[in-house]
Amino acid sequence: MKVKVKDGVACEILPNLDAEGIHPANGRCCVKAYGAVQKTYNPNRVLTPMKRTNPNKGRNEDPGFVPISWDEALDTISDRLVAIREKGLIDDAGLPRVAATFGMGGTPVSYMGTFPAFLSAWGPIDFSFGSGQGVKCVHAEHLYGEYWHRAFIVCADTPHTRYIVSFGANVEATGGTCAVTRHADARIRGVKRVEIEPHMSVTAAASSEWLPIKPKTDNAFMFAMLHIMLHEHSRYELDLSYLRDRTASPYLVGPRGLYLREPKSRKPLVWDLDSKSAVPFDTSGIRIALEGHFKVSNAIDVGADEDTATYEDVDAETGMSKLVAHLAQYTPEGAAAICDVPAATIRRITAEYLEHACIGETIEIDGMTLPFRPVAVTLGKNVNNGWGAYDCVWARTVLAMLVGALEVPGGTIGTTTRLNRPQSNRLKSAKPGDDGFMATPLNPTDKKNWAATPVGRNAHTTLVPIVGNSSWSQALGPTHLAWMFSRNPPDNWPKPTYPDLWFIYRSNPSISFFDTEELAESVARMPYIVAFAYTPDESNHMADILLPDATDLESTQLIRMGGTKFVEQLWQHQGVVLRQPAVEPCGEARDFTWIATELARRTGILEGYNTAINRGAGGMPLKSEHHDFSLSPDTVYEVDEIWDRACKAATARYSNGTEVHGLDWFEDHGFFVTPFKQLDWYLYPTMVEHNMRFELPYQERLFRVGQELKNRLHEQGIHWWDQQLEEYAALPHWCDVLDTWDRAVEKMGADPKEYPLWLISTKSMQYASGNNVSIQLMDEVSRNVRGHGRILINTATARNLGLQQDDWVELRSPIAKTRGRVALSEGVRPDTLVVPGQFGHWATPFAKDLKFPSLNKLAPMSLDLTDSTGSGADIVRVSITPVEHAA
Amino acid sequence: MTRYVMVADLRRCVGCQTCTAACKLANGTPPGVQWRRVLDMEVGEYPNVQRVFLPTGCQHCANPPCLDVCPSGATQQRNDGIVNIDYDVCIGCANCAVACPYGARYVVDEQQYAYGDAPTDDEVVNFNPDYVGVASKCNFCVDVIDEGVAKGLTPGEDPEATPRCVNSCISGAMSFGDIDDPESTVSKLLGETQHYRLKTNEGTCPGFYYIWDGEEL
Amino acid sequence: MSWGTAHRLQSFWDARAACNFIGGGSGSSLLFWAALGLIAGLPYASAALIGLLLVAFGLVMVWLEIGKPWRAFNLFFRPQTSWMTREGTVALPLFAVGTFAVLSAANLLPPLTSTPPAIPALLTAVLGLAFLYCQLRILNTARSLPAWREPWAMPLIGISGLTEGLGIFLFLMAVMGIVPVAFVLVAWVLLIARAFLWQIYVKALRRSGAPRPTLQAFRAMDNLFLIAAHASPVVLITLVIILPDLAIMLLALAGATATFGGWYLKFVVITRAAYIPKFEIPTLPIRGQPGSG
Repeated sequence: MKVKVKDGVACEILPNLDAEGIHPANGRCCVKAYGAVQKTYNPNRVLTPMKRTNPNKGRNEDPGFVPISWDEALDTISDRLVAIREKGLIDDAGLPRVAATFGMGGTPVSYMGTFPAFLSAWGPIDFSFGSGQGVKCVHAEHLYGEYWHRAFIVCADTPHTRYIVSFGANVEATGGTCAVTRHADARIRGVKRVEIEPHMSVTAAASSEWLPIKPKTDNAFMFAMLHIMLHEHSRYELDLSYLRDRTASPYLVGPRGLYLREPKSRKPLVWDLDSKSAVPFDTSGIRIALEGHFKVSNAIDVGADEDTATYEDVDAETGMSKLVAHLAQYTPEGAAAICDVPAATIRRITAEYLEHACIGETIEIDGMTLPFRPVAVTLGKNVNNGWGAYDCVWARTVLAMLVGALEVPGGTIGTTTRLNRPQSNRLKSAKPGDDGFMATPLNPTDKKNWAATPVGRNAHTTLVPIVGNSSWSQALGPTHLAWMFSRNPPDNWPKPTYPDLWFIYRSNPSISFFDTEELAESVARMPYIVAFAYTPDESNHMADILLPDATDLESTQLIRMGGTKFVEQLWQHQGVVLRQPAVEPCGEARDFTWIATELARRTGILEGYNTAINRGAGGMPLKSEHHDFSLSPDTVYEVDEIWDRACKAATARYSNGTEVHGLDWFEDHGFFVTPFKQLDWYLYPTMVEHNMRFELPYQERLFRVGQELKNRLHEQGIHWWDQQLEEYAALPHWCDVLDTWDRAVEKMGADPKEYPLWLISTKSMQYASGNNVSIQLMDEVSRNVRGHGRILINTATARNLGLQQDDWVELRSPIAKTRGRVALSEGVRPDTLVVPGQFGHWATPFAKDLKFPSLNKLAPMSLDLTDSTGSGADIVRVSITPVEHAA
Repeated sequence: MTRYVMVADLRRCVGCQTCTAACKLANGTPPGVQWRRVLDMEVGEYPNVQRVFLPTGCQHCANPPCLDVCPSGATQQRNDGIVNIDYDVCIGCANCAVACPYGARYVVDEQQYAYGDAPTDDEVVNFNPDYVGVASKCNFCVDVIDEGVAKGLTPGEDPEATPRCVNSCISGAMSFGDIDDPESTVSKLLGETQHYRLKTNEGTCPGFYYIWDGEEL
Repeated sequence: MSWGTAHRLQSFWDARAACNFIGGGSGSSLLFWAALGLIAGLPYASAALIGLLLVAFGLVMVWLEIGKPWRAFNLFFRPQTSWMTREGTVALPLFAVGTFAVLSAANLLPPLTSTPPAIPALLTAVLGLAFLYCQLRILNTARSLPAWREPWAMPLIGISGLTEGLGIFLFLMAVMGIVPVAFVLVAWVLLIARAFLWQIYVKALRRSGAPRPTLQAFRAMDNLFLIAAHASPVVLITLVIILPDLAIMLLALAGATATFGGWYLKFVVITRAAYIPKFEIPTLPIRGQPGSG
């Protein structure tokens, strides 16, 4: 974007049209960016460092913040950090003494300058305390998507696709400008998108068809689609060669539900139709059977903890056959009764999906011929997190797999990785591993290596093997468990200690997580909080020090862009863009990079800090084969000097040493890009090149890992994760999510019948990941959007309750109540209520006066409502009571 | 002849309000005043529902009802079809506002600020006291158009000479240009799509077209 | 909810604008009836003065409402097309001639300038009717509001203006102990005409698909309007003829109710029934392929 400055004041935001033809949205920024001017000059900003004078923390305690100098603030913090270093970075419970929490989706990383380098130089940091990670993001998709096809996020190959089945994926609201542009172009091209969700979101509005499915029953719909494809359509409508050659479908499964393996090599076996025998999967010159039951003369299987069985003349069937048999029970009629979409409609959608799949067709991309399968299935938050999410992400991936549309042009593709390295190139992270699949770093579950003692307060390496152990893994673990266990640990689990110091930035867990009243009290129990504060808010209300970082228009950072990244960020260029200060920071606000450098210096870890920057903790390594712009480890660098070197390093790297541009060049030009092959949007060529198969449909490894995890947990006397362990099925069983919820309500001591409606949430472009609830402009323009600040309710349901537009109501869940005004709509299921966004503020200026309701207050944090990846979903059983008619 | 018109492709619009916000910043309009605004409309009954996003604002009609009723002559119609307001002349009687079937005009009696009683720094710079006490509305960014034309640029083709809402539109829904020029983007777009205008029974002949489908087959 | 997706009550002209139509309509027509009364030998000066004051009151209220009151003089710049300009243009000679007529009728003019008051009175009457007509056209050109632009609004508000002015005139006469029978009979006819026009107006609005809240606002006032502002004064006027002993009191009441009824009508028309219709889209956009659902 560009910023117009008049008399030293930022006064207008404009798109950066220099990026036309480079940026997929041609340089346009979304509505949130236009709030950056008000964000800068918001009179409620914290503009000077502050320290707390009231030692008591709580919602009803006035923090008594008083202004202090930067020197005092930084010395106070660094004295504490030095003391921690002297005590030891890990406490007696084996947990890091310093914790840090950042907000949504990696966005804060683009604003915190070189602070990641400080964190890296510090040593072990506990990122477990989430601000909504796992329940507010597409959690199961993150984890399983990466596992199956290096897809931390999954999207349609929109420029090439022709048919999209979208279960609640609200790309028009949350996909960013690139998604909006691409899908608008797709609509003009005649792409049909069927949006399946309980209410008519913006995406449903912009789709060809809307199917109002009952909340959290998407798994039934998808299982029925799979059933129809495999039991009611011809095999020739599927991509049989893809299944045979690129997936684990032909692998033979034995009586224990494990792959049958060649005894010596332990390679999974397939059936060779020519020799009529079972041979290792990578044997050349064979004709592999995709389906069938066979007798295998000699094999082993390897179960949990190396529990090996040996077989002779054993019955086996292929993974594909097991899939077909497994899906026989999931009929469209059964699904219709569950999800409230007619069986005929499910059949029609499936038939249309198959019709559009173009089996056998090819397309040329960057000189290479690839399969062309223009059908995609996308999932949204609430579908791909919480109970039932495993079913859904598996089913979606299998739907793609069956027609060969996984990771090919037109189909369902991934965008980036966060658990596998390198994060900047997901294709490079796909390397051959065991059994013909990609090597995937699961957290160990064997007796020797399992993390019996948690290394972080959400116990991600202990409880969630699939989340791995990258720099992002902990923040992607079951982050609400950190909060829950700190308050109330379950049986045979040590109560986690609180960290000695907790950094928090661009994050407000007291608002953005579940059970927010209780969560705020948990935040209050933190011994020492350093909050990078934009305005006072419900979390930094409990802080000890507030630090005003320079915001969007006031600071410097070089940010990677392009290639493939996050939702529909699929470019034909890659490079870097500079955020430069349009104006001087207001008040005493300082650039985050300066803050990070000062903290590093005062804490005595400057060398580690500079080394981390050199390695790329600021976004770009400063040294490569072409260049060396490294920082000298023991020198204190100014902000501009650091970024100047980063600019030079980046341009040298991207241009293979042919161009070097510093900060001054970027100040004039804004960004630097080089071409990025569209071919690299797809993982398929990499799979072919390395002769790897997608680990689908049968989840033999997860099944085994689940057994091992069960063994480990039971050995410790831990049975409170047993329900979650049931998800480690090789082929998922349909999870009755709504019944799970009802049983959870009963366990809370309440009667589900007293809460007859389902409350869900939805996002809006104006607020999603925006950190902008206190921006008046956003509220003003949002009032044009149906449902803003309201509880969306079906018109007939409302009339039956005697409700009119804007009447006040009270929503009650088993744990809390909230009030809000209703907005009547025909675009909502009669049994469902929808609350957009996350409000309910009581401290954030401007936002607190809006008096908007929030689902978060009503949603419990509960193990019963947590799936095996540690995620939950925005769905709550509620009752609704009219309170007051609108004035 | 030149007649500038706006085209909104309803197939593309997602109601994100980016144009609403861009217009507000470009023109320094006070809180509540939205010269460009996108409506969020629902049609039908559950489950047969549609939701449409409709960019609105001044339609720059060929027969503008606001023009005749204006007692001061502040509302003027240019040769290129743009209906403009001379804020130095307007007395704020709001006769134009009650005459406009599209609700495009705003009259603000006293300056309000986004946060309380005092202006923020950007409001101090952006605040135009000429907008208080008078009628105001979208003027197709007439200053930008005039400056652009003076430089030899073509409004609707060259972003520098094009209204801010069009430049800001993420989905490519908004287009602008001279409908009397058969080679303009808008002329070609309208030639290959099906479209309508609003409240045409009022005899206003609006200069705002709404596309709803591709070419009729 | 954003307006435009629902019918919206206009918020530009409030009770102060209603006062302009009230004061302007009643006052200008009072000047007309006062002039006719002068011809018929009835007292003129006080009625005409009140008429002028009513018109002035209305214009002052409007002046308080406009955004730039100190630029009010600009309203004279567009006589070619603007009925508001024309209203203002007529107002100037209306006050000048009217004041002269009042002073003349009250014998307050210096001897050399005195003229028979009938001439300036009649001229004032004509200007008054012209002023009233301008107000009707102002309403009629408000294209955003079905309640105002409906063609039957003009005769309704026009007849109401005449009725209100006559009502005030009869009230004043009653206060002075006079029962001008001819004027009383005219009032009787005007009231019946207004009642009929009211019903025709509402029916026309319904037929033309006016916004439902507009029709609801009128339905809410219908009974009170017809009974208190028409049936009552008609009965009272009838009783004036039948019960001459009570005529003064009955006439005053009749005049007051006829007038207040008209003011109530204008208040509702301007402030409560003035809904701008929501947008309707002729055809829904096709997003991608048409849905088969």
